[in-house]
Amino acid sequence: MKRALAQIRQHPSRFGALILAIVISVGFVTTCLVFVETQSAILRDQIAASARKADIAVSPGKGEGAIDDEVVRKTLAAVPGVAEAAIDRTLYLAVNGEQVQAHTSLPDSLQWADLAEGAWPRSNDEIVIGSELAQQANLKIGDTVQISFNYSKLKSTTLRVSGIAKDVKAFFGSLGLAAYVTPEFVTQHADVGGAPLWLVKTAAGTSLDQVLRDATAAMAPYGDALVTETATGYAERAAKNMTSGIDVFQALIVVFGAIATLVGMLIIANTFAILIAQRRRQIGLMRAIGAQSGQVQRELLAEALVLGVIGSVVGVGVGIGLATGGTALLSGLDSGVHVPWTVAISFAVGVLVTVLAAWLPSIRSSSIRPLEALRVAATEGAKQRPGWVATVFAALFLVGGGALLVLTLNATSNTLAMAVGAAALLSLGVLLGAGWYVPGLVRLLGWIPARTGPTARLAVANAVRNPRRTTATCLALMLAVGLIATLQVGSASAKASAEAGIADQFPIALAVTSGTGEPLPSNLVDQVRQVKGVTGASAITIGTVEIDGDHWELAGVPDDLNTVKPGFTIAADDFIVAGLQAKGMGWEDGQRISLMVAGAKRDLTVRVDHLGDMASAVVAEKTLQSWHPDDTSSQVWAAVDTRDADAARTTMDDVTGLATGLQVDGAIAYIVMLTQVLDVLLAIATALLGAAVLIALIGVGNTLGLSVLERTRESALLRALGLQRAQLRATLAIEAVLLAIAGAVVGIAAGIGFGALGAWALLAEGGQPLVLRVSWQQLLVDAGIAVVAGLLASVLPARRAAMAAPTEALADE
Amino acid sequence: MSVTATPPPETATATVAASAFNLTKVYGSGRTEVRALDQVSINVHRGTFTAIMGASGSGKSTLMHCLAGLDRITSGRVFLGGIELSSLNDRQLTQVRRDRIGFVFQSFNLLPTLTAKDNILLPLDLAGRKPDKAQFASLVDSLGIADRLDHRPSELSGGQQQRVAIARALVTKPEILFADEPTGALDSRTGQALLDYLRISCHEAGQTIVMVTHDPIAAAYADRAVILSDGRITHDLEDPDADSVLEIIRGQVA
Repeated sequence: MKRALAQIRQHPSRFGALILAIVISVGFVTTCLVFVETQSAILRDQIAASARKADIAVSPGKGEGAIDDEVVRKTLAAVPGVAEAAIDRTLYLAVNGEQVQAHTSLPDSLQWADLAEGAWPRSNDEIVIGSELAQQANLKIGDTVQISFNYSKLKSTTLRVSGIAKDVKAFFGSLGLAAYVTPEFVTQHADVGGAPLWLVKTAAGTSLDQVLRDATAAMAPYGDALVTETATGYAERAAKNMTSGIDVFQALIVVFGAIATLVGMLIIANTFAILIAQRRRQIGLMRAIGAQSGQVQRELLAEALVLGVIGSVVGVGVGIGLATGGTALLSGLDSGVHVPWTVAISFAVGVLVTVLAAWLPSIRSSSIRPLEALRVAATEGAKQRPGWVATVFAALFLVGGGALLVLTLNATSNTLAMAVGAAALLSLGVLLGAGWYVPGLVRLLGWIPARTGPTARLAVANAVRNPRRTTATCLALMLAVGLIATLQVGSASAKASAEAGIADQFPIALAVTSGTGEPLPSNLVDQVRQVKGVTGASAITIGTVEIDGDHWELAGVPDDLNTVKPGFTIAADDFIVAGLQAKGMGWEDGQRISLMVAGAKRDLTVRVDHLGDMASAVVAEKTLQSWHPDDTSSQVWAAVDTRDADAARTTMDDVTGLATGLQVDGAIAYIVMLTQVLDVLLAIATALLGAAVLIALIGVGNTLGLSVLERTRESALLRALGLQRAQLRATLAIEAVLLAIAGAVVGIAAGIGFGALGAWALLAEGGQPLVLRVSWQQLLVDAGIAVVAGLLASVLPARRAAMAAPTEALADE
Repeated sequence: MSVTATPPPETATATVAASAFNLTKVYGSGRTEVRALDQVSINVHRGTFTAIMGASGSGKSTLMHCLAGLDRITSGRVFLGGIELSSLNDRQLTQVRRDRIGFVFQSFNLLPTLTAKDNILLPLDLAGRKPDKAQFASLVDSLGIADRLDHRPSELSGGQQQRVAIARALVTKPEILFADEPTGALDSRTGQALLDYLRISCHEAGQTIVMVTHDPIAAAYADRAVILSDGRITHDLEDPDADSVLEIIRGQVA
């Protein structure tokens, strides 16, 4: 152990890159774990916010029973030791068309929300809104807002903003926009409903347990219908239900973290192999003077252990630091930073991975004979064939993966899981078999530069002289670039395929409805027509009609619908339904049917058309009006001339902005939503994988740096013979770029293949055909980044090589 | 024999291939200062085979490095073919080494990734010049390596490797060929064959050679032996023979 520490202390720079790789892997995983844990804690706080100030909470349970909320409250208030009891109701409203989760305001002792400015609502025409809603809808104190109730026939009403409350932002999404109204407001609009929660504050000096027992006894008559517990108990119970989505996210993080760690492991193994090769003579000397091969190996592993610990400690520190910074930026540090115990695992994994990665190369060290100490020349196998173990496994994985691939392509269910399996097997085969094609690939890529002069030729020769090392360096890069390319191609293709498929599935590109319950402005149709990107718009009447005893929501379309759907016509007695609906009713296209419509018998012709999806059925506008429908409202249906997500988004935003409270549905809306989701996923995944690429490139610089050390005499010889400093630097730069391009080429090729496979599998489940979209610009940028980073990686080693005077290295060994 | 003084630089080119005037090389500073060379002055005449000798640490290798432009000097002046080396920047110095000097070292002369032929042509390649085919052929023939041109250094014996190194050193027709212990890693028979070749190329082709060695027998192949001790020239022998050189060195060590 002493010798191990001495080694590290003497040549700290050699291990610098190695430690950096460990720091990045461990740091990355730690950052994510801590960030997720902290955000979860914030979310839990938010969910249970209602019970924050209370001591006891009574909430609806599983049981049934009529409950008078006010009676329960009075009973609770009468329990000895209770200072205050109030009802916190949660209900859903639309404020100026925005969906909002509203609460009833509470007495100060129980009021859990914080006011930013203004005052709590004192009368039934006042409302307090959350800061996020205020920002989004551009509202301030004194403004009036339109309130409408979902799923209710109540007319909308207006309230005045009396204050703005603080919202806390969380990564996993706040609970939506918030607002606060008086309890009386809720009672006034009694059928608005709203889940009640009774909050109880105990008086000072009373025993919580005692009061809880008394309260529970008082609630006993209600049986299962109510659950009485401490406020903390309630908070924990509520929080438990919300964590499933977070778990998925966490699992995703761990997967990416594992990939980053795998790449790091490759680098560490490579570095140790080089270090050992460099120390051949030292090791040979030790063996000559009597060290057992086991002792030598243990010493190397001890070095690995020390490095692993150092790297992991720094990594954990960096991780916690970054997560704290991220939380502070996003949500503020009020809840503090939560460090989960899983961070200890990530630390242990960092150390373990380092030692493991050093293990195989350390075994090779035992094959160094004592005589190596006396040899001068560096021994490298120019004709290294890849090991047979790796080859056999590579062949197995390729064959297995290929078979699974064939099965996947012919499968109709579970395609995604099978595709992932096939991709994983094939990747392993490609990576393990890299020794067979990487040196050849590098030589091929180097053919053109080699024509340009002696500098490049030397660089190419150097790049392929140690096939094993070249392969190992490229492996990490291939893996990282491959994953990014897969994601890019996969998501782009998924998007393109969805775009192609959606337009067919949704009969109307854009359907505009009123979110406030108010009727649409009468000139909206004309305004929509003016919007850039809209090729036609039509005003539609919606109404409810009783048909054969059932309530049908019908859409009445005017003749000008043919501006939206070219070539569309409708006869007065046409009854358009969608395919599934027709099947359910036993109707066929063109069938004459007789229905009891609003008490009168009508003869109609069934038309089976996609358009029928827009309502229960579609008829001509005049026909609908002749049936005197109830609850009429209007919609505007429009056609948009583009399927491109970005242009569609602009058009959609323009339409939505025409009046307050408009809601948009239809193909375009779906495409935009899908695109947003995919873009976010892709951005996150790319950032996550960026860490892996960084590690891989550190590996390239590392390999070069250590090769430079190995080739000191050669470099000195070249300088003596007349190679300029700049030329020497250039050879290293070219070598780095060649390795980077080789890795990127294989990674991109694999990425296209696997990306297409993944997108296909994703769509196959839904029966959609694949549209392959490969953004060549994106891939070129990926390759470009690899090249630039390769160049950067070569800068430091190149400087070191060029600075040495020719004599230094030629001196007596 | 005493040390000769340096003639003025203007006339140097005609008869003097390389020269040093009050050359001093110091490593380190303060307490750890090492004077490798102390006020050394020497002329190397064209078409001569000079051996620079001395015990370990005498400064012989350092003198060669300074004369060949491989290392910077602390004070004094160094000339090669009329050019003052100390006035050149790194770029120019490198070019001089490439075009006008040939090197043979004790070991590790060749790039392991290149064939023998590529190794020989490397200086020309770096200069962007095409080789003279006839000259190349006669060179490799005379060294007896014509049949090994496609082999890599790892496939050649020690003696063959050194011969390839000599071919490379001579392919640019340099002003001077500097050899640092060229026979150090060879057995006596191969070594002597090599030294024979060097002497012939000097006497018959007029190639100026400066060889650093610690071996008195090798020194006997030279026309002149300059002996250093503690960074200074102590002896300058013409037509040296092994015994007298050996005695001088033994005397210095004692």
